Amino acid sequence: MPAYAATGVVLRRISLGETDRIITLLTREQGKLHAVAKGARKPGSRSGGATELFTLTRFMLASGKSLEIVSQCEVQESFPALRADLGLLARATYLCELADRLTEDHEPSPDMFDSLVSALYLLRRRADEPDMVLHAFELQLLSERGYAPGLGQCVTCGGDPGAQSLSFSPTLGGVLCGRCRRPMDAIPLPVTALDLMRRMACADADGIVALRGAASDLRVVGRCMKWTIRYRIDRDIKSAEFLDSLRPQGAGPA
Amino acid sequence: MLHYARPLARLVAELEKLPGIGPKSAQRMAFHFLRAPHADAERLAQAIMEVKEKIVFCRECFNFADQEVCDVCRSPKRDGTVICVVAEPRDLMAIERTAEFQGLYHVLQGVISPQEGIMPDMLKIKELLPRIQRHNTTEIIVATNPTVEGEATALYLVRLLKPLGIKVTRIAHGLPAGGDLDYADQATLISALQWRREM
Ligand SMILES: [Zn+2]
Ligand SMILES: [Zn+2]
Repeated sequence: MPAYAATGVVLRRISLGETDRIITLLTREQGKLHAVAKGARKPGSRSGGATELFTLTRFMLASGKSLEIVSQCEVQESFPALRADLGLLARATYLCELADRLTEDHEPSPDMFDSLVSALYLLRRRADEPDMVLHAFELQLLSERGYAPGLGQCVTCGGDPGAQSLSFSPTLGGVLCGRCRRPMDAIPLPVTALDLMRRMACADADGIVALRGAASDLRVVGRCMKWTIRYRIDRDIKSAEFLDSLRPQGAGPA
Repeated sequence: MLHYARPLARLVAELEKLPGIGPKSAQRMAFHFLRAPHADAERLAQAIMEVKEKIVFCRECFNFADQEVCDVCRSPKRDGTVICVVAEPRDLMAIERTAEFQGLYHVLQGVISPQEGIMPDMLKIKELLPRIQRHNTTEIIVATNPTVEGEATALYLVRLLKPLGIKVTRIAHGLPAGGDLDYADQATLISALQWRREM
């Protein structure tokens, strides 16, 4: 296969030998790919910046035996604002790891790519409340994988959940009305938090910029998302631990 | 399939475990030792054993040392009011080679790496605080790499130390010496602009 062009976000990278890197990319055209970037760790190398975490880069790739090979690359957006703020950096890192865990190799998913790029841009615009972007992205990513939590009707009885004594079950995958029996994992869900989650699930970029909600509701949404993701992918997202450690004591989604 | 005599095979197998050494290089090195004078081989073997037996981490700065405290920390000429924080002993050595820096060092023994699960408490970060007090340190220079992990570590130190009234600076990174402006990528140019200085 001759060299081909692909635009991708760097989700992960590991060092190879003295100066090379293996990068995991989420590309718009080809889905998730793994590629060798030769010389990327040499000082002053142009591909160094282009293969940094959560950088959006235009690549020329060639298919190798087991990995793609980077022949050229040019940074399109390095998101400098996300590298200058610890909270934003931790969130961008987490978004990349989540996207990595929720995608399969060589499975084109332009929607997921667009969501990720948009989330990286939006983090800076919502530096006031970056978790609005984070949880909206989590909801949209889950829904692109077919794991969208049920937020319309009660996931047990199918009835209108109403507004009283609601809860959210990560294992049943959605909201429960006050009349239905709750599993052990049910998280109490104020109706305002359910409303916030519904708005997040369908918000476009402008919608995410405009999202408003109480900090306490945002934390509840965070808890619902954390346990849903843990249940769906059956393993921890490592960067979540660092992100949680940065939150004020007791404010984490725990 | 040709087999080496057992001792030779063992040496090749050990050499192959070295970083950056493949089977071909391992074989070449093994044949080299086979031909080399006995004394050369012995010196190498002894040097390896000596490193294993004598090198410890400095209890002050966590640099490599052959005593409890390393040469830099022991030197009366060094100025503890400025401490340069690095990730690894090899970074300390790189700065030390410039002979420009007269302060002390602090080796974190790694960087914060959220994706690898390397958390701040796994590094020598808390050990920095008593040193700052003891030396009346006024400035911490963070000399980690300009990678996401290096930046995360630098930003974490700022968050930790700024409230204590300590000046935290970051080494400048931008265009490499002898580099070409036109060739630099966006990230490099942005940091070069950010870290500009008055002339
Ligand atoms: Zn129900
Ligand atoms: Zn020392």
